Amino acid sequence: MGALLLPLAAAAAPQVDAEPSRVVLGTGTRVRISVRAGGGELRAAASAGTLEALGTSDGAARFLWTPPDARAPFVALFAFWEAGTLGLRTVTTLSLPCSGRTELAIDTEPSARVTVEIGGAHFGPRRADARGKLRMPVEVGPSAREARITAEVGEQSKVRIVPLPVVPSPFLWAVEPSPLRADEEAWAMVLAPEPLDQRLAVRASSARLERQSAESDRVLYRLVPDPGAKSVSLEAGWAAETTARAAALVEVQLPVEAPAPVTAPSPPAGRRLEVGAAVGAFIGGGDNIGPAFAVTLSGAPWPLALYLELELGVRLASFSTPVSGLGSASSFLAVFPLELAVRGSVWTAGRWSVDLRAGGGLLLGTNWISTDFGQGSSQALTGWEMFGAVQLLCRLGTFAPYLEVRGAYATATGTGVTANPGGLVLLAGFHWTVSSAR
Amino acid sequence: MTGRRPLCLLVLSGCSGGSLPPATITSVTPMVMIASQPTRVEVQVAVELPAEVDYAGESIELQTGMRVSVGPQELGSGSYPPDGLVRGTLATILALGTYDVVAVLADGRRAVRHDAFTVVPGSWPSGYSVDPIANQRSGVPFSATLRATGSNALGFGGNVLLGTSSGATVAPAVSGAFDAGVRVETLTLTGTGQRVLTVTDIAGNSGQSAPFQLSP
Repeated sequence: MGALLLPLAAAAAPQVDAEPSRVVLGTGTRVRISVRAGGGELRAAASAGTLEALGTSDGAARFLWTPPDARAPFVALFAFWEAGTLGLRTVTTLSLPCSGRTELAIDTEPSARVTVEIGGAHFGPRRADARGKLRMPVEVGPSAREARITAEVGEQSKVRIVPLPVVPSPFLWAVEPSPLRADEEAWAMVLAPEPLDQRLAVRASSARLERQSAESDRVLYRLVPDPGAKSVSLEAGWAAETTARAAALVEVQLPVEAPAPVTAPSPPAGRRLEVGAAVGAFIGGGDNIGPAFAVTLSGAPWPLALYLELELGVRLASFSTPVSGLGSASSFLAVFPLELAVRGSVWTAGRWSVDLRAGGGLLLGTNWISTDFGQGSSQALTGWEMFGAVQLLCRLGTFAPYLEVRGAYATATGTGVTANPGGLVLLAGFHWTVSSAR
Repeated sequence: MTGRRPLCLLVLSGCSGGSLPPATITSVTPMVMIASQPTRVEVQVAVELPAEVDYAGESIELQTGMRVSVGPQELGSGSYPPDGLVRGTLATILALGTYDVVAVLADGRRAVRHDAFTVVPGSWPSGYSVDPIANQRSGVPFSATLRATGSNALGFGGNVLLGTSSGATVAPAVSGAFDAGVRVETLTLTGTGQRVLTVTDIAGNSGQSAPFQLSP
């Protein structure tokens, strides 16, 4: 049985695989689910059974789903999304057909040869006893509505259609954030394994649901808890049904007065390789000022939140000054930093994180002098730099834009040239994850 | 001007010590001078001036000192002129013959163009006279009128050497150029006592003033 690869609801939505992709209830089968998301905190929900998070490996979050004890066939629905991004196109769903095993009690002609067809699957043949009684073991899928029983006696055959009891498949509530926070906007989405229409009825206690948007199998609501509510309960189902298809109870937290404590860095998903680029400026005092560019190659070859980085950069500076009795002279500096650095996260919150960097390396460059009185020359420069920096990153899947503030001591000298192309370096850039593995 | 070179070459040159390239004299115009006629000369020097660039100090300092001479006579202002083109007028105090043209930079580099300038015979007056000079005070400038005499006097436009008897000095030592045989020169003498002003050209023609009294 092959793995089920679900199409993405949107580029930013998680990608889900399940193994096996079909379940027969009562056989002890459990389903392994892997989810590849953008790197943010992953949320998961199941409409039935028990969904257990197993951690992360090979860049994917692993789950184990244990079906419920019930034997009646149904479609299990799963939803996966990244924290803070509950939207119609940011939630990926997985529908898992769960079949039930049962025995059909059949009354027919004595000694008849009986076969049963349910949803295209055939069972039998078996022969009825002398009284025409027979029990036929069958598997019933969640979409089956009837059983076609064929009894053959001699040259004659009889076909009988028997309706099968239909058990409704449960719906699912996805709520963000969870628990709710009284001072933050909240969202709730009802998802179903079948098309939703105007028959859908939702009910909230201790809260108000404001419908926002919908697609065929999902409806997004704005969730507004009542003032002072400590929990909110949600129900969804068809209006004509007496039993709700989905119910959720969500805690409401009071507003946090104190600032959130700094949390330890979350461990990386595993070995990672990132490339990046940045643009900005440096201000090193005097005419040590100008644009700065950098490209980076970052690798975390160990299961630690620590990257080794190679950075190649360009920094430019120029100025002009009068030369007594002759005219004016201009100087143009181009320095190419070649540096190694270490970067590690010291704080994370959802997709946001703060990284610290430290490093240093060589500076190679050239300075050009030009004048309006016929003088021109160039000088090679060499030097070094040491720096410490803070990066504020926002991880959006494999793409992580950041802002960096760097303090650098840099010195570059050549024949007759002294420059300090460091100081305060401000950069805006991004990291892009090109590979991730454990 | 060296222009912009590839970075790799610059880095290598930086590792090799980064000394400046030698200066050269690329042209001398004209290359011949008539001994009795002051001549305007242009000397083209190709040189990369020593520079000090300090980005923190926001300064570019160029060592512009450059002395150019034709034989014993200096040309120009003593510093690098725009585009390295040194201009000046040579006085008629060079003896007949050929001379090296030399440029000396402030950092000691030196460019020589051997036998680049030639002085050929000219026409000189047969003598000089000085209009009577009133009594003067030492160190106080005064004017003296110098006149060429004899043949070629009216067309003379050269320079002469000025002197006085021992125990005193006269400045300048070389007069400005005569104009139609006459030169009004502002002089400063130091010393005391009775003096005469002597006028001599390099061809050996001379003259002198009547005695005058130089008081402290």
